[in-house]
Amino acid sequence: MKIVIDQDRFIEAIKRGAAAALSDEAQADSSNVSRLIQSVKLTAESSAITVESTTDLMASRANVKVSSGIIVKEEGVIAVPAKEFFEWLDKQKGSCIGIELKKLDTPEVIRDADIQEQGGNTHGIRKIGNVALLAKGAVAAKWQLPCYDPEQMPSVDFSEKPDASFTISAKELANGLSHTEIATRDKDLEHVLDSIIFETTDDVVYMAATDTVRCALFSPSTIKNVNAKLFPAPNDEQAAELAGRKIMVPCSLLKTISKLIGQEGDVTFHYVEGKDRVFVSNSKSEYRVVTTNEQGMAKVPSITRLLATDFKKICSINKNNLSTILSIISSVNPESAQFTFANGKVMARAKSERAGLDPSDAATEIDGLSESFRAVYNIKHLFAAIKIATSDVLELSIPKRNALLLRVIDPSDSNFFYYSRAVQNPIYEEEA
Amino acid sequence: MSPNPVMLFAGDETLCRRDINKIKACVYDVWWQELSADESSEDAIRTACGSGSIGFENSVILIKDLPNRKHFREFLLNLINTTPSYVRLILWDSHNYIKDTSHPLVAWKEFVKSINSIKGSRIIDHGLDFGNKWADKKVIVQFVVDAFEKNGHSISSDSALLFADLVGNNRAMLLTEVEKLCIIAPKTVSNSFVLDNTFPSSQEAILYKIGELIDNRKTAEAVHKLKEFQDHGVFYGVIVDVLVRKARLQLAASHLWLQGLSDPEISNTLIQMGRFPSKVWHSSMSQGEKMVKASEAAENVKEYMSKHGGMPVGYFGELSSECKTSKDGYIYAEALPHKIVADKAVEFVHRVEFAYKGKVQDYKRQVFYRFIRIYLSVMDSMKKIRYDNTQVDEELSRMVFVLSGVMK
Repeated sequence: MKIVIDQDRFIEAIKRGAAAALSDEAQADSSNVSRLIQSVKLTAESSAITVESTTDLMASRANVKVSSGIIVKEEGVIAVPAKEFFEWLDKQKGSCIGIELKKLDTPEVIRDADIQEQGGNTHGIRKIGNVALLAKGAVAAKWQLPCYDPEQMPSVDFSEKPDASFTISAKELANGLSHTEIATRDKDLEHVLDSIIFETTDDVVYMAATDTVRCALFSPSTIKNVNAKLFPAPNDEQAAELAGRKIMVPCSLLKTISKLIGQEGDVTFHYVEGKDRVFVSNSKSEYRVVTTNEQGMAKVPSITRLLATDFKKICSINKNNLSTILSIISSVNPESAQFTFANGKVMARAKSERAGLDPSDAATEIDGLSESFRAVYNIKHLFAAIKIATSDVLELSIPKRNALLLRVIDPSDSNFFYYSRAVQNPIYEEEA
Repeated sequence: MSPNPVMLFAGDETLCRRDINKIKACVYDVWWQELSADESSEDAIRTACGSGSIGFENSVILIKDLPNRKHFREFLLNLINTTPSYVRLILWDSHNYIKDTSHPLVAWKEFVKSINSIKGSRIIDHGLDFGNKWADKKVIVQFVVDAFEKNGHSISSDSALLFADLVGNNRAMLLTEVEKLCIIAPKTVSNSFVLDNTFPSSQEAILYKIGELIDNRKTAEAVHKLKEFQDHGVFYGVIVDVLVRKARLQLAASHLWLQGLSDPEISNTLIQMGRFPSKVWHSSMSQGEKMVKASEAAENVKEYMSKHGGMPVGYFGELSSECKTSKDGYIYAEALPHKIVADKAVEFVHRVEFAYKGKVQDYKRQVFYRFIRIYLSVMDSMKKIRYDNTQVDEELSRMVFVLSGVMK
């Protein structure tokens, strides 16, 4: 393989195509095939240069069409260490990059300590040559990297992706992620509580996230081409049977993809049923990521129940004032506080289990109080809602039947709903 | 509001974790949450217990890493009394304050008593590692016998002790090894089955394993086993020590046999021989006197090395007071861990006796000379390995061949 390409166009393709190999998961891999998992595969053809990489959780692919500034002198395939390749390329700003494979006469088998020979067959990573890298620009540079046998690399056939499940604008996807990720946990090995849920109810596709004590819902307005088979319409015969069907994608992976895709154009999701995978693609790149399995999805209740709950508006509150009173009382108890809504005011009181700390109180004016009530809420959950809201005023509601949930709505963002569970904390009971 | 029943786990970490995982696997439609008291404040724990969950009616909250603080114990008791009915609490004393026998705390006993008084509560005590005293050996034997019985197999006390010697005194290791063995074990587990199949975890265990192969002249297997031990991280110096010890044991057995002692007498003497200097164990002193002599010898070496060898006194450790005064400590430090090793040595002497008897004159003395030659040859190999570690494998193999009588 021998190609010449502009650095600025190439680096973008590498960033997208090598995303899987550059991910933390791949870079932390210590298995005996880590060299392959941490490598990026480049395929040079007369019409395009394809960049690919694959891990268990994610596969990524990007294309650069051959046009002016790109010359494919010799077609071929190489596999080089992604991190080193990307870092070297990233530093050659404005340069013209030459890449050439210099093949070894006989492939060299790299025998890492833990690679065994079985049945007489050699199990080892084959190094087929070296890739010479040349940069010509304001600064000239040259280097070489080992080239592993590309046939040994795990690969994903992106042409086998099923029909589209739905399409969403890249901007809405990023927006939805920023709204819902606040309710995810940092890490969940089952990928239940660290995932973004795509679920439909009443013809609306929602993005949701929950860590079981709060839930963030966002209904993107630009979702289109929704596959009725995957997300059945309510009148459909099978609707009742399939109600609550959803796709759950780990938030960290989706965020990586959203960042790489940017905010232009549309993103299409293709869910592979039964294989716990979803293809995510736009015009420039394609990704395949793992989804939460059936058992994991069954652990998350349908958002339909939440949406069907009747809420009554309690009051409107100034976001900055709420933030201030939360900051004041959280120095005593950063976890939970009792809120008393009465007489046009909300009075917050924090008490702690820690010995020697007196309760801390703070109050602020509220508008349109419909009824007086008192409940204990999680302070961190309220801070998260404040952080994401854009308007100055927040609307607070509670269910008509009980006060077990608090719903926070940003009036300027009608697509976003945030729910937090009330806390039963006996240290506040004497206040009642 | 009556308090919800709680589960309190204490003792061996692996066994506690295993039980907790079993519970976790068999509860459905329940939200499971784990909190570390080291990382979460009392306020955070209280909030987690009072929050319930969206979509689940019930939840289980496991609180582990309980700190040794009075305030926290009081907080836990209050939490148990006030937690909503939809929350089940599991407490796990993973720092082992409850089971700490070296510094038993009355406060924790009171805490356990309080938990016990809650109707429906359960305390799952997995105990800590067994001690090294002889009294504990009886407990280990019973533990192993019970574990085999639980898996539908029977084992004699003698075999159970051998098994415990091979595996060690850790409860989790003993239990998992029993479960592993029971997959292939016959209805009654014998000594030979234990020796053939139990994975060794101590120097004595290696001695059993290799000794068995050497005595039966399975030299190729013994050499293979040596490599296997080294692959598993056993330092070759340890294996050399084991082989020298075997040679010394055989030499001592043959010497005692030559003196006319009966087999049980030889075994008993060998068991008490241990690592004593010969002048100590060949004497007729009482065990206590031997102990004093042994410690004196060690002190003399220290003095000699510091005065004449130029070694700073601070380089030498102190003999533990327990070792000097406690009978249990003395027995553990100086005696062979199991009679079977002594029995095997006596058995091997008789095998050689059988080969020599009627074929050579003064065969008893010849048998003894043979064991002297073996001992000197093995010592020779040990010196070679210690001063030149380039031929470790060759010398180890040579030691095996010499000990089994294949090479002189």
